[in-house]
Amino acid sequence: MSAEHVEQVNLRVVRRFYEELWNQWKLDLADEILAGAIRFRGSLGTACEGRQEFRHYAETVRSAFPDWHNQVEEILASEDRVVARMTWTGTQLGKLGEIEPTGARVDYCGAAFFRLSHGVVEEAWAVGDTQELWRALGRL
Amino acid sequence: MCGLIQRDTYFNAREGRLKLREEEGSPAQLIAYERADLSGERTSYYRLVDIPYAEGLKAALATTLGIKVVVAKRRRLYLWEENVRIHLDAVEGLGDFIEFEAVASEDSDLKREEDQVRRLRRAFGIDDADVIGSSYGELALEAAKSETGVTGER
Repeated sequence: MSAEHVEQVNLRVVRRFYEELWNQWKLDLADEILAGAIRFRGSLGTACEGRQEFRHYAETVRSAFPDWHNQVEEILASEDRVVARMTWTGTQLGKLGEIEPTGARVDYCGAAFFRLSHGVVEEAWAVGDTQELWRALGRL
Repeated sequence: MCGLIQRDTYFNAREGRLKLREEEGSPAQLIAYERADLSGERTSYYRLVDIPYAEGLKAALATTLGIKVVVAKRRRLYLWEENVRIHLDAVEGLGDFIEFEAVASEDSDLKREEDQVRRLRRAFGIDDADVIGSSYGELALEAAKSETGVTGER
């Protein structure tokens, strides 16, 4: 087998970030693919730093939307960056901040930008169409 | 981070094309391929073989087949949708190029891959007149004949 180019590694890491860590709630994968001091901004607008804060954020999303799903619509990787066009979906069955469970189905699109080094994510910044999110939750 | 530094040595081949690719930080690869010299989208059938001892193989093939031309380039690689490679190539003595490669499985009818390349061409605004049918090797040979500084040897 040929050695993988760093671009292939980066693309695979971001695929795993969404398809395993998030979609299968394999939060332990954070130790493998996220830098210890990761800087993360989620599509809900929350920013956090470090794996522990990231896990806390992911657990918050999980308890609010147990069926949370990240759909990678399109992905482009370079030697130190990956960008993905995303669709996020879920059903709000738990509390989200001050919003009591609504049972509402959310479905909104956005984009995520990653910076990677040596096969781990150093920084991830996602922005979502939260107007659509808050509308679905009855907040707009 | 400065892209891939590649050196392709093209050999005289009886059928198809044969080149040895040496790349900083990666094992060398012998690449045997066939591709029509047409402009526009075209299919390339290729075989890649990792070469642990590139210098030895290069010397052997240079002796038996002869070296056609050597092309050095700096490549920035972008991967789109796993199977599509976007190359931004700065080729020594030739200039800067963009190349799209949609990698297909053996059982593909190529419709998806052709569509992917067409989408990229539209996105980058590349007209038919801008598409080059020749390989870097052939362009380098032509340049060598014109004495533009690229060297060819036999």
